[in-house]
Amino acid sequence: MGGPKPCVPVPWIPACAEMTWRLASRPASAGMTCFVLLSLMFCSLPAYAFEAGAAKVEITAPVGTPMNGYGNRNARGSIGVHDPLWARCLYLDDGQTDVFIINCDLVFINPELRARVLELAPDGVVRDHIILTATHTHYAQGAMNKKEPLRFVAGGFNPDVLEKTAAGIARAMDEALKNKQRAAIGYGTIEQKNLTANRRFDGGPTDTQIGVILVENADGTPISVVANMAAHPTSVPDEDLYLMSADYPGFYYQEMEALTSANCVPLFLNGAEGNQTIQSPEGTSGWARTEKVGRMLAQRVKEALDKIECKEEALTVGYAEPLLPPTLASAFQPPRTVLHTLEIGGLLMTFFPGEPCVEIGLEMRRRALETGYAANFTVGLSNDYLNYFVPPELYDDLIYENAMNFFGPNISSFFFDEFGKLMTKKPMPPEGDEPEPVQIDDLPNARKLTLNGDAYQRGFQRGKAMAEDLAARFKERVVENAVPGKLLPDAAPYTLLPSFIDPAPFLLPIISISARPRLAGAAPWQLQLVAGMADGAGMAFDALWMIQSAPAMVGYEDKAQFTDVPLCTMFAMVGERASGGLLIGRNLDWALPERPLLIEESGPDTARTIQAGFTWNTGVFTGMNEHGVVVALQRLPDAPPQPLRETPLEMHLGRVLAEAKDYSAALAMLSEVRATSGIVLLGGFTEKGPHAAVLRYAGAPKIDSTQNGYLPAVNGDTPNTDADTIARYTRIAELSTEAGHLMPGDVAAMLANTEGEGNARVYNEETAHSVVFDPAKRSLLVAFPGEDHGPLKHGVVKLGAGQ
Amino acid sequence: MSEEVLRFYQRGARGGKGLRLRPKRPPIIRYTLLALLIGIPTYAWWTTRDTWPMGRLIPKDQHYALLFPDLIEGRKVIARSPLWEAVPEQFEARKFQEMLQQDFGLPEWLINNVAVGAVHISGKDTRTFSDALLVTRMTRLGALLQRFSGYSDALQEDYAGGLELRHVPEAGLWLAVRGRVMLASRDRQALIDALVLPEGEALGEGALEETLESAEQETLQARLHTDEVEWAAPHISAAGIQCWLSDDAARVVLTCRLSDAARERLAPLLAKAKPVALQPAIPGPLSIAADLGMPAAEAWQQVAALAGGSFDAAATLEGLVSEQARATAGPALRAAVEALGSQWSITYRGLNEMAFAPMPYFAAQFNANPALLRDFVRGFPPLPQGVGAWESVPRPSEDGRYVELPLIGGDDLHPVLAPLNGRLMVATAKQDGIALLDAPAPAESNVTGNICVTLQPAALLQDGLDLALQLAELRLVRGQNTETLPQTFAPWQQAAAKVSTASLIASHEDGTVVLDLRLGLAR
Repeated sequence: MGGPKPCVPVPWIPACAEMTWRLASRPASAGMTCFVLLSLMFCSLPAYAFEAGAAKVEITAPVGTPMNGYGNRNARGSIGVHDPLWARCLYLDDGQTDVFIINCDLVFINPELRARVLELAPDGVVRDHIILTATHTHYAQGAMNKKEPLRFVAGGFNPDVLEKTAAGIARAMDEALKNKQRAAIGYGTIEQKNLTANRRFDGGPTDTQIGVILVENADGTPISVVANMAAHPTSVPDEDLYLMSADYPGFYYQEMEALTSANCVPLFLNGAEGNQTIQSPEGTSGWARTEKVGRMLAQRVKEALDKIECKEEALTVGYAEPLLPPTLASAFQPPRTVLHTLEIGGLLMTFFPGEPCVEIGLEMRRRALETGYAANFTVGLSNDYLNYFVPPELYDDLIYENAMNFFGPNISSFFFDEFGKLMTKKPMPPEGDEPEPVQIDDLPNARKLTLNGDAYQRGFQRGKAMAEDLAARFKERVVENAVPGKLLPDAAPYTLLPSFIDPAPFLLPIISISARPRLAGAAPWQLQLVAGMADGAGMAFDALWMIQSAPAMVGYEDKAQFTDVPLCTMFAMVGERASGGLLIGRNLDWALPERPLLIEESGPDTARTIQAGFTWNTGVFTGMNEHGVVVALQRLPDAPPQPLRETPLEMHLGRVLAEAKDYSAALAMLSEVRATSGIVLLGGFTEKGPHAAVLRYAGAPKIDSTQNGYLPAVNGDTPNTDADTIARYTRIAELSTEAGHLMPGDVAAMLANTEGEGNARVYNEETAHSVVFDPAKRSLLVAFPGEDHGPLKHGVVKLGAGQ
Repeated sequence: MSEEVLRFYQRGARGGKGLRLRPKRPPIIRYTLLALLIGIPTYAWWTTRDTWPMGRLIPKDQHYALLFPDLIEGRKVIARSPLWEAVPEQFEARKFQEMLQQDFGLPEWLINNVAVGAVHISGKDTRTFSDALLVTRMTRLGALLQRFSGYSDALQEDYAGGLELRHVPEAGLWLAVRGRVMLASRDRQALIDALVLPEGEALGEGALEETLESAEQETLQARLHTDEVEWAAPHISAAGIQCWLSDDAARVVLTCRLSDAARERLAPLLAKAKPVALQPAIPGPLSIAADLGMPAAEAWQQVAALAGGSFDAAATLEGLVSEQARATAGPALRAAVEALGSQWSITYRGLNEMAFAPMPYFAAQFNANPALLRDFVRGFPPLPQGVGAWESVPRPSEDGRYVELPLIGGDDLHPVLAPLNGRLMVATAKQDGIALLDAPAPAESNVTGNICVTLQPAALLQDGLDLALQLAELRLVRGQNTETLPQTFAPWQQAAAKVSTASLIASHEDGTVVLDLRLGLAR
């Protein structure tokens, strides 16, 4: 938080700083004491005058310096300068707190640059009160990054470029201090409709606000005008890709100086520009477009200036270096970052260390206004560069911004929380923020987790309880599969990598990005469930989702280890032969080592559900909800592989259990689903009584349903069925015929049948769990075989018994 | 001061009857002593005569042979050589040095008498060396002492049909002595074969001595008859090795006679190769200078063909040029490649680990048609109109000193081509190329051969570490991180610091290949 200035002599203001403190400590006469006390009582003026100074210093690197911003430049050097690049500094001091706002015509502020600027900054300046921002012009020098992979884009590291750029910024700070004078400050906003656009979706959200800060001297002459608008400066025509330019902010500076005075130092602070670009006002293109937008921006800002009333506002600086959420990309992303807030009276400025998408900027503003601030300016590209930040709703979309978002779908919440801690007006804490501890019951034949709260909280409880197992699954399913032929292509260069090279840390973040579209069919609460699980387990979101996705992502031949076991045996007995009108039996056969669990959930976004699952799967393979809807999933070994961008069926089943209030609703939901392969067994009740259906997916599902009788998931017409599966189902059919009227225990006995060999047996060596649903009673018989695969012993569990 | 001292003598117990002369010894004893005094040396002299030439006991059809002209002195030289310090501690080779330095439990003088001068080791088993036969000559004293070895418990007599072998069970060794020549082998039969060798099957009297006389103070000579050696036969028919070791250098010369099949296979590459004075390579941690008696481009083509591939240098260069200028710049590059002579060198100049990607710098030199060099830059097509300055199109530099070809990554992958010291110089990094143009001309080389590879191990290892650290920063190095890597490299760096330079000069003439490896050692 911004505290008072340090009590150190400041060389450029010797009289002010030292005299003030000496007065306070000098032995005073009684008369003087009274005078001081009276002054304190009746004088409402602040002890200090508001002061400000501004300066700009050119920082254009020599021609030939590698340019930053575009990968397709391949780190080549510049060939000329279209317009110069500047470091522009505004120094503000309310007498208690001072702050530097520095805007640089650079692509971003990298840690090496920030560190060097802090070293070179004028003595006596509080380092935490130096806010560095970049306009994000894509036509500025690179060569200042020591770390890969940024050097691929920004060019080889050149210490001379770093040194001169940092020195230029430091000189701008120095001169701003020297130019300090009595000043007043004001802020305001103005709308724009024709300057920015969503670059990813036609008609997508934009930020129409232009934020404006005016700093005047005692004569009312502008010292500086700060504009805040969200749009990528990527408008220079292709033929001038190798020219240095500040892009449209450069024209804003020129126009603003023309509209105010040559002594005014305009600043441009880019906003939540992740998915924002500039429009083509009046049909302009090329440089004309760049210039038009820059000048129009200045003109709109000028309109706002006329309405801004300047006064002596209080300044509050917030500063933190929080730990970032876990990321799979930890090999090239830092563990911490730098966050700043700056409050100027009722204005809250939030400085993001990267490129937030506009949705995040708008939400930040909504929250700030709701909290009581008069205005909020979001500033991107500040102090650090963590690439892009996308809102949760874009996380399943493989747009560029998402592909460069490395901190999970809830990165926006992370920033809202962290900025909230720095704000003087505290936002309301979210309801039920503290997840309840998970309830774990070791039943005779199963382990049961009972989870409560919203989806995130349930996920968090589960992730925390299962953290160790999830870490083991991640290592086994994801890290160890990051080899050619599995998660990596079975071709050069991957096959040529020497054994001492481990490509996983670098490639897994990239691979995991391609798994995100598998979330497209998931409900928002399911995304939060996964996020909660990841947070609870202390894992990156992408890591947890990769456990779910890796089996589908390995190549067709190599995915055999995940799929060539028969998944599984499942059938329904409906009507008069079944106790309660409906019994559903299911063995889940699964070759991989797992820790099976019963997971009972309830929350505002879900019906009460219970599922037999594993520690890691965030969907549902086998489950029932409080409305008696039962779902179970089977895949066949010879079925075509699941495409990478297809939402897994188990995620759809999770949504059905959470939302479907009866059989009909569940059937409607599942009928809408499109999947390459997979078989779903559905059971439940309508007003007409019990129903069961088998949905066999090959695109749209083919549906067999019944209200009376035996319904197996696989019959003679089921495509892609192997001999073992047919033998298993034939045996179950025989057993059901022999049994007559079935009680749940009879179905359990059928599932435990061990006649036959290997996978042709109903209960075989690969059975991971065996469940009989009695939906009428909302209960189930469940058995988790031990490691010895000994005889099954089913135990009764009642849904909601733990309430 | 002296006073006479009176001395009194008391007779012994048997005396007392006046002074008696000692009784005379019997003459037989005196003669015996005399005989012994004369006989023992005579016997020693007689029995330790050097009656067997070493070459008479060495089969001439051995598949390999090693000759230490002076093993005892050689042992000292080998043991104290800094070469061992150039082997990281974890390697077994270090144990060999320890073995040489160890105290054998015998006085030095004794060792010096058991094996004096040359030691010859030979055999037929080139895989396990199980039948290795060691032949050496002892001094007279050594030969005499070994006669008393029979009293030692460590040795057992092995009559062997009258060949009178001795067996050292603990060492698994059989010994025999003929005259002053001692033979030893772990294979009893190999020893017996040597002792009963018909004269016509032996190396022959004087053969070894001739070899020794012609030796150039080597520490070790070796030869290999490869006809019976499975792994060598397809490639070479015979090989000889000479080693020299001193306190500041080590040299190994391997002379091979290529097999007929190998000569046929390598004919396209080696047919015209004869030792010539090689041009000096541009300095750097690793360089190769070559002259195979054919134009460089053709030589690379032949090398690629031998490896089962193909390589067209001109086409490769043309492929780097942007399509819009390929028609103009392409022919100029092709002409340059075609004008290259037979002498060329390529040097690894170092690593810029902070380039856009860790980037090695290379520089090459070629002798070339003087006409090409004279007009190379001036005559090169300028950058065509409308082609971006950043495009991959070769163009003359503004100062007319070089032709440059911007590729990617800025100056780090921005080749320059320029005439330099009467040759065509190519550097992959612009700044390095310009530095070479500004550098003084190097001294001419005095290396004769066809290929000369030179490396500086310490510099190469440092670059390897820098590269590994870059990879480790991205956690790409299995089991290592930026803190452990320097520790892992440290023993190698310490070892590499002991070898200041290493060079391998390969020469070919008429089917004989000579590989001359020279190591400069540092204390």
